[in-house]
Amino acid sequence: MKISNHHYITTPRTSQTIDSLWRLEKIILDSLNYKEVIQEICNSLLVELGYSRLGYKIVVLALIDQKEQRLKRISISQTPEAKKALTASPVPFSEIDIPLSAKDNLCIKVINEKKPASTAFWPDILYPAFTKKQAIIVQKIVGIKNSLVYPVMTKNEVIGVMIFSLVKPLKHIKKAEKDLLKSYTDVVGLAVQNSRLYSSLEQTTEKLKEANEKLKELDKLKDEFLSIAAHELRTPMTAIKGYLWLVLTREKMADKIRERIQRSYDSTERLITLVNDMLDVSRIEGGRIVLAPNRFNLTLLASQVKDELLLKANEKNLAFTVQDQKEHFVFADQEKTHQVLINLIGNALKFTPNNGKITVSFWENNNMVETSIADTGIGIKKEDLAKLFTKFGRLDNSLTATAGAGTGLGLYITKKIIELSGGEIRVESEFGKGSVFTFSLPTS
Amino acid sequence: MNKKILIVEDDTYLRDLYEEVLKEDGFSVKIAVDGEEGLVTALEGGHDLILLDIMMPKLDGLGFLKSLKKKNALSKNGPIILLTNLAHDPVIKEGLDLGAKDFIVKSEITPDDLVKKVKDYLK
Repeated sequence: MKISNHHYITTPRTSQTIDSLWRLEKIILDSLNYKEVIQEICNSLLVELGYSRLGYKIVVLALIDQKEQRLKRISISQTPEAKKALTASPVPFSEIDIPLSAKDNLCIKVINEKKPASTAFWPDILYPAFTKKQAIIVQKIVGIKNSLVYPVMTKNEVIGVMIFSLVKPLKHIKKAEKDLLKSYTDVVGLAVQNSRLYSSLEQTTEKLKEANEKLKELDKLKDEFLSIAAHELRTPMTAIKGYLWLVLTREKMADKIRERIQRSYDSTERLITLVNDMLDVSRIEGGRIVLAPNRFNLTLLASQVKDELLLKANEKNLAFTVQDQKEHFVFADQEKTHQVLINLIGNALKFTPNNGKITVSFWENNNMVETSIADTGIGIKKEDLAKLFTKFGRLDNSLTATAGAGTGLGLYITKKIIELSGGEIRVESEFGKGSVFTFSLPTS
Repeated sequence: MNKKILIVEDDTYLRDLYEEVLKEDGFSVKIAVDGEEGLVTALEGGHDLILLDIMMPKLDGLGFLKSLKKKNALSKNGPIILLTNLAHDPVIKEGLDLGAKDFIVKSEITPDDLVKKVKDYLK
């Protein structure tokens, strides 16, 4: 064998070893990207820790591909000797792989025995990827005397090997070096495992992001579809409602027929509300409801709602009062608050029998305005309170069935609007005596 | 002289319905089945009030208003009232900003409410 002109220091400074290991760990564990890690692994020992000066010239990391049952070369140090080896190699580096079944290969032996080994004869580590002859030629060109093969472990599992090729005889390897190589490959095992986990986590995150984008897009399409469908539904329902109105107000007919037409009219109205409510629910749940908060006079708004609903209250001879002696201002979306008041007061009207009483009152509490709507209606059973604010949580009893016009979405929408506005809603009720709905809205 | 109303509405049944109740109350009614036809009629001028649907084929209500405004023809007719299908629709505000005077949510009113609103504007 040709005499090498490489120079090396025979003794590593042991005081440096522990320090070296710390630096190594930091270098490897600092980068999480898998590709960066494996490249860093091969360079760090030689370049950063100066092992090149100790006669270490090529470091190779090879990992097991479980699927293909092969040991694959993953990365190689960026040193002049490595470059020489790569140039002389008959097979591209990334294609140098050894089947796990090649039991005579030293790398495979190291994997199976989980113990380091060494060789002065490259065919031991390169056959059958190279022919024995090819391996000998390349070794000669590069001038490597010995190669050490260490198993790379994670816990008790071997995931690959590190191959350290030296230009010095085995007897010149000090214990401190061996200790470092052992610790080094342990760190490599950890680093590879970490970076693999991290890379797969990154991939998963990326996939989740994509899936999420797709879902958002689908949700938008759903909303658009629902908007258009709602519009298309509303037009014929409006026509039905209009013509039924003409019949009811322009034609003479028997009471029985009038009753039936009236029911058709009421049902159409209910359908229109349902379609509108469904659109609201879709927007709320898709997070696309847009609130435009402003400071406005809540007391005044409640009085306006009272005027809007007074006709219905008078039909039932209800004592309907809004306690408007003191004005209360809130910071909320006025239109949505209007919707909330119409819903809550509308419910009170619906479920309060003739000659009953409805009172709307206000008070301030910790920068919030509390509004309560109290009625002397049928009340709500304790067991029904929990599902009151849920979707289609309309209670099954004869009165809600006949009072009819609800969609089962009103209180759900109301609660969501109030919560999005920064407030809360609660209900107290005694079955048979009446209910009090109280909601809060911020003053600023 | 009967007051002249122009209805621009693409749905036949709603158009007929509004025409019927307005005629009942003595209005003279012209109809247009889409925004383009409505625009041609509106440019002739002389209508005391226009009921303008927002969602229509060919030219929608907003496009109608923009064209009318561009041609400086908003004053050729009386007030324009938007016919919409949905309360709280942001396009209502857009329509009002483009020169419409008011809006009616079709699904929430009775035909008689519509006549009442028209009458209020033409007092």
